[in-house]
Amino acid sequence: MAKKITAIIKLQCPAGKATPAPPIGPALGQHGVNIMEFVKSFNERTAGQVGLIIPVEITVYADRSFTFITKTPPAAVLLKKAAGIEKGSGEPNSAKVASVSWDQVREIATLKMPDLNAADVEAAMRMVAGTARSMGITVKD
Amino acid sequence: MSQGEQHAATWLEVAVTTSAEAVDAISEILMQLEAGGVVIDDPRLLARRAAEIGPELIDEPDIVAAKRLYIKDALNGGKPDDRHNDAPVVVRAYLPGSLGDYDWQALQEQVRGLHAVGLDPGPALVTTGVVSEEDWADAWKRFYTIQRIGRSIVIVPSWLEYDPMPGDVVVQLDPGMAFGTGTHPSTRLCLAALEDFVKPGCSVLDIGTGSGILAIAAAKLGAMVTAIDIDAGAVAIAAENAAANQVEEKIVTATGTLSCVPPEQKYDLIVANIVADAIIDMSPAVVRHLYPASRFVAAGIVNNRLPEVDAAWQRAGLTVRDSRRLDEWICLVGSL
Repeated sequence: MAKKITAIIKLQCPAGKATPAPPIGPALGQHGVNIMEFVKSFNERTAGQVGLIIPVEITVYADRSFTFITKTPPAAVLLKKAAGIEKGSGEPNSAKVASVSWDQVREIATLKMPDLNAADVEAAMRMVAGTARSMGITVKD
Repeated sequence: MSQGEQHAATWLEVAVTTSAEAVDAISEILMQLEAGGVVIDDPRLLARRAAEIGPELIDEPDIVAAKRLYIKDALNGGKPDDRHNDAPVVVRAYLPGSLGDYDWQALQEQVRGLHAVGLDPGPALVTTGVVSEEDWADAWKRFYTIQRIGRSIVIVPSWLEYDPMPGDVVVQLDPGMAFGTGTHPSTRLCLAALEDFVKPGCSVLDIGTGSGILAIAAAKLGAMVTAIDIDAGAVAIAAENAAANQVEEKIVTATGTLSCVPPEQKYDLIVANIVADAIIDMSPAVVRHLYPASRFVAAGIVNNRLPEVDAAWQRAGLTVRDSRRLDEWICLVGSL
């Protein structure tokens, strides 16, 4: 008999540098997961990606054991990489900090498709382009 | 963290209720506020899993929302419906400081302003609150129970009663926030290895002692133990656990790395349950603290890191005598 699932927790946290502080502590603690065991496993598994924010989906079972899978970095992180910037704009409407092409948006949307709640790649591209503009990154033809 | 040592530390919790499509944009806005990460509460995750494995395997009190989505997806031919944005997603972040340190109005406007860039921010609701470490730090203890490991080691949470059987090696433990509860595969592998190699009167060095679980088990098996950790908080917890087990006279604790051990000091057994990178870094130094017949027990190694550890051991002059595996974790037993 497969184990019953009591929760699926999704987090974004720094690869290789997770700590028991928030957001991990409260997110896992409230579901009865042993926080330090997750931290150790996550850091060891993502040690090769230090510097990136990594989404992780943790499945918690009825006996409070857990498994987790890491995902591709968030669209915002991929956009910053594509645009060659460290930080998005604090005032995205007035201060544009960089630009990306629609080809780059399509590339990111295709990569993120499995994690996005999008029906097709066009819908995913609309989400990625919106995220870009929200960071002061313009999308150019 | 000095505040955390005096009282339970507190954080500001900011929760943004939004639509699925705005999650990455909102996460980025919150990360700009120097959040250490975000939590995403999305009922679709359970709904998707329910569609994959069957809803009967989901046992979640708040499953109603997930089941509703599952049914909607089923009506939609099993395809996730891009349009059910009526099921909001909550993105949470935790920030240091107090409520007055942040401009919540500006954050609210930034979230609502996502309309202008072509993203639907959904309900665009920003709420704040204060959470304390006490609220979550101990929650897992309700599910931490007595564990029998190897032939004779029994790990007993300090708040539970246990009637030992003849030959039991009982370790009472309150791990606090330190690593080492006996539930992690690498800790179980180390405990079993200690049971195999620790003889009464032998000397043991425990590097990265955490809760002190391995040091205490070794002491109860008859060893004289030196337990070190780079985290002073962990060392304090290890010392408390040693005293609770009446083995404080057999365990010397210290804060620091292997370099704080006198260079001529050798041990019959060295155990390091940390991570692959730490094992690789310390291997050349560990060699200097081993007798020809000593054992080095190294764990916390995920199986895909094994080739790197192997190479580091060869360079350091260590020979792998045994390799033990539990799930994806490996424990190596080596010697000179």
